[in-house]
Amino acid sequence: MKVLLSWINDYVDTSNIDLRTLTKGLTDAGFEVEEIIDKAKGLDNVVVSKITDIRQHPNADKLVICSADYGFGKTEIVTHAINMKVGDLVPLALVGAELPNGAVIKSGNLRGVESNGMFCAGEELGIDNSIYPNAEVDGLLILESGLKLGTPIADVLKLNEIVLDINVLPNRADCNSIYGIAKEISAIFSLPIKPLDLSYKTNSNKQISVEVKDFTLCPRYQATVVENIKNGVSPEWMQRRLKLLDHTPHSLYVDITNYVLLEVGQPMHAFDLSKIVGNKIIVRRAHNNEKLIALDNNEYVLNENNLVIANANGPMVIAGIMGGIESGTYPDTKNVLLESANFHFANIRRSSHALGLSSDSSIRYSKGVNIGNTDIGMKRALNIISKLNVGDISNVTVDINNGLPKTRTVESCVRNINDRLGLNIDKSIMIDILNRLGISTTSDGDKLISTIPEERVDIERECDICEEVGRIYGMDKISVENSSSTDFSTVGELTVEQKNINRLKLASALFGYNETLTWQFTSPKIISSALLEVEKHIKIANPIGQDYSIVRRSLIPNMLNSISFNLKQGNKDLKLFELAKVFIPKQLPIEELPDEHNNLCISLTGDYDFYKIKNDLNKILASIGIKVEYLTGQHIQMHPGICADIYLYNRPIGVIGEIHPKVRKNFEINQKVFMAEINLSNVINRLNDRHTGNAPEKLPYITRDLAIVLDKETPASKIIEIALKADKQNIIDCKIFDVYLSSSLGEDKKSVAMTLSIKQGEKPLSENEIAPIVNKVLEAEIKTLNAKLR
Amino acid sequence: MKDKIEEILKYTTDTLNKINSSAECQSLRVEILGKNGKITQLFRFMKEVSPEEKQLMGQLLNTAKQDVERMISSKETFLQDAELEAKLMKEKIDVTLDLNQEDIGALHPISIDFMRMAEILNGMGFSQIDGPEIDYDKYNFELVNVPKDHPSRDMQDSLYITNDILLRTQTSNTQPRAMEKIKPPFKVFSFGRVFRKDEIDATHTPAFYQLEGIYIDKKVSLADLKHDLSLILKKYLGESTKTKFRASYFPFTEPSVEVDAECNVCKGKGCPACKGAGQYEILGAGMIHPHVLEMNGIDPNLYSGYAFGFGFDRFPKMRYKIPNAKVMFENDVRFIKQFK
Repeated sequence: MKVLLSWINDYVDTSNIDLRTLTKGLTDAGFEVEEIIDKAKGLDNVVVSKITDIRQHPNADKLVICSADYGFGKTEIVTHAINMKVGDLVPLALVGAELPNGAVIKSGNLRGVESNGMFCAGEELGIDNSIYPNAEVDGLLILESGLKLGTPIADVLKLNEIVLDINVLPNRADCNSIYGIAKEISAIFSLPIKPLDLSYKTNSNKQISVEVKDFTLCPRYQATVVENIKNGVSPEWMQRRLKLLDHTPHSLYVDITNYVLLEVGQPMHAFDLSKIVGNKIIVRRAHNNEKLIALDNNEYVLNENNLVIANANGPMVIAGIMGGIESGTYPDTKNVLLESANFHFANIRRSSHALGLSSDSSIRYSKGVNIGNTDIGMKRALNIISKLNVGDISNVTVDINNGLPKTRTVESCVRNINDRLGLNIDKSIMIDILNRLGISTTSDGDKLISTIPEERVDIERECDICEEVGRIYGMDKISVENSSSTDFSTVGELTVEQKNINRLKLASALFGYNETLTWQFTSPKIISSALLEVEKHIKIANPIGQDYSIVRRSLIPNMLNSISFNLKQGNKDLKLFELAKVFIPKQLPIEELPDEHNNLCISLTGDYDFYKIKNDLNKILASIGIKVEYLTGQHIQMHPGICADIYLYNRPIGVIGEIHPKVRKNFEINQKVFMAEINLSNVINRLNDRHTGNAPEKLPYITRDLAIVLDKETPASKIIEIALKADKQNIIDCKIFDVYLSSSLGEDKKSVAMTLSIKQGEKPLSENEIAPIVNKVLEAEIKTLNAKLR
Repeated sequence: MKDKIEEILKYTTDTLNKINSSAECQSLRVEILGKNGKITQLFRFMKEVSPEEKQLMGQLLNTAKQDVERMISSKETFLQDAELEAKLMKEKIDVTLDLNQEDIGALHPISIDFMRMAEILNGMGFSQIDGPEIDYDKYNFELVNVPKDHPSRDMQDSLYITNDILLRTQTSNTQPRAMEKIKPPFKVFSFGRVFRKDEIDATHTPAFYQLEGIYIDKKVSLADLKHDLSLILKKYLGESTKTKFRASYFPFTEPSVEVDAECNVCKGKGCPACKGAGQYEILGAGMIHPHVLEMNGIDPNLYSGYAFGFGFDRFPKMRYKIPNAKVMFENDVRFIKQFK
């Protein structure tokens, strides 16, 4: 929120505090000053000068040479302006000035004549008519006569103004005003605060009735009639202040409501009294499809979620958001009804968002306005009207409410406050801080009894009092010396799952895979391109856009998308992995939380084959002590002949294979992609710790090769399984080193050559002892798989 | 006899001088010491001499034999070494060439920095806790004291699946879940993706990472928070990191503080890097609101606790000077490979 420092000074005198101390004090107390705007920026070295002579430039028709006297010097200026005469006072930018529009003034030579500076137009000084009369004329800004030559122009324009842009936190909505910030400054710097002038004279007794039909959405409604108004333009000082805070002045009554909004944070509205048909204000929910043309000239279709201020005929105003074009005040308006009301902040926020319509008033209401503030706003507006003598104020302010807030008492304990802050603040200092904040506080021993002002809705209990004390005392005074944290003795550790996730990531990277991070939500197009059913996914009710609307249940679609993106970027031979959550709904639409699993997806693109990715996956899983099994599988996304289901302890945990060409084509990928995805839920919950560590056998293993011919479709895993089972005592390992197909073997046959590793006991095995072991394997293969010796 | 021996020794020396292969050494050995070698033949004369002479001759011949063998062996070893070297030199390769290289992969900078942070936090007694990324409104908002009408509960800020279930907007959903399960005292942290309804631009992404920590025990104070945070940030951002507290507001903490770090470029004087502030915002923190403790079954009269939390993406972004948030999540492998 922007505040004008000179306006603040109406209520608390900050002239003895330098700007840096002021902004730091505000920031440290929770009112972060995000920007300091110096309205005189760019006006240094611009001074009042008098034109003492004008003569034609000898070498240019359209230029003149002026002699200028700026009090502490004289100079010659070449200009093409024509709206000045000898004796005029004009702003002179001296050499070295850097104007608000960015122009840097240097001495120059214009067509053979020296020019040491520049006369300025209003535009070049960044001002318009509201800052100085005739600032918008085409040509030089002609200043009023009688000014002292050499006076800095910022003084003349009264632009020695500082605007602070303050981040008011949501719990301190009461400070979204000049007066609110003034009160904080008064507390922080221990300065006296002047009360608001809320007095006014009345000379009428006219009133109209008000009916509030929904006290939840409108807890309070105040209305005062002002007759015989003089609704011209507002006074210069008011326009200037509005302008400096980025508000466009309109007409007097509108400006007064805006002025009050800025000063005390109360949104107000002025109705043309003659438009209130039936002489009665009705605050009610809109009927469905009720229409209203607002001040922005757009027609809005309302519904029962919107609150309106209506007369007997229909809605006049969308409550708290915008007035209707019909019922507003205009230059010819004779009598007005001033509204100062309280509307429920959340309803205003939602209505404003739903209608796509916001205003200063709706923004302010959305942050929350205190119920007590309506009265302050009304009285302040009437005070200004009274002082300006621009209307006859009724002595009746209708006040419809459902009960007004009362002051509350909160008790707290000095020791608890200090314990919580980790400080040792003296009780008297605490009491002083709280009283400065307007929280009148007394003590009873260690107990503090505080009376909480109505507007401090944020203060409910001891911890809130603690915060008030802490933030004014200074949170940065909290010192690590008062910490007892060093005595603490918890052991910080990761769970088995967390450790295994980190290990899997590291192993994937070590084996050459680069980590991708994709969003948890994706587009229906990407899902269906990967041949997954969009209907089986969780949908976000209010997605950012279609592209982010479906919650993934597999990492494969986004992985394909990443591959496609990388190939388009010219990256080749991609090895990518992602380890992240997928979401499996228990029912659709969901009624309870979905299952969340950490999945690992690895992929290879380029000159690789299935055995490479399988080997890599085995190595990655070995890093956490996991060994999986592969069985021929079928998946719609995968090549029908190059696809396996992955099993751990006989439970399926994933899939591996070559991505089906038609799937990768959907992602415009023109090369083979190998991919594996596994659900880690039952994989990462085991800690890889071995229980035994045997000494190796004394004698080396003996190897014997064996080649058999058998049915082509027999899986290698089966052949190995049978070989290992044939003689568990002696056979340590079996590896297939060659698979050979030939018509000489028969069309549906293959030859498989394997190496058996045989363990020796205490004594070396003789050839006579080895042959029967190999034979056992052969016989088992013959019996089980109908194999033949090659 | 002596002369003959001298002659053989001289012959050996001369021949060895001319020889330049180890094979020739072997031939010479046969020529002199073999079955019909020159010295072997001399031994045959022994039968014909007197016993006194026999002894003397035997000595002379044996000495000569040893001398010859030593001379040949020495030359032979020298030549064998040279021959091996020559053979090896023929096997010379260009060791600066890279053939059949397989590169290692890289972790995403977010993972790298998280693992670093997790080590620091483990070392300070914090254990990691996890929570669901899709959660009930109750855990995401209600139990951490975000009131029903708080703007962040509106549809325009959060991504909802049903009225009651949403993509978590903060890792704080792990707080009530931790308090449900573990009894104080405890120190835990959580890390993970959170989601907001933000369009992608240079500083916003619809999903980003958060890290937060809580410590609940008897008599935990803001001084403990300051102590622990300044240690964590020193270890994470550098030993010279200076942290400052100022007042702030969060629904789940009371009092709340904003923690700033002194700008490490200008050391607090104010410079373009910190937009003249001399410091930059690091994180939000505070004392856990007693109402949060109450709602989660912890007696605030017995226990107090602190909490801190921050958006994590900006730290790797700052550390590696990554120009915008977008490149972090495009997954261009050229970007990721830099972090090998």
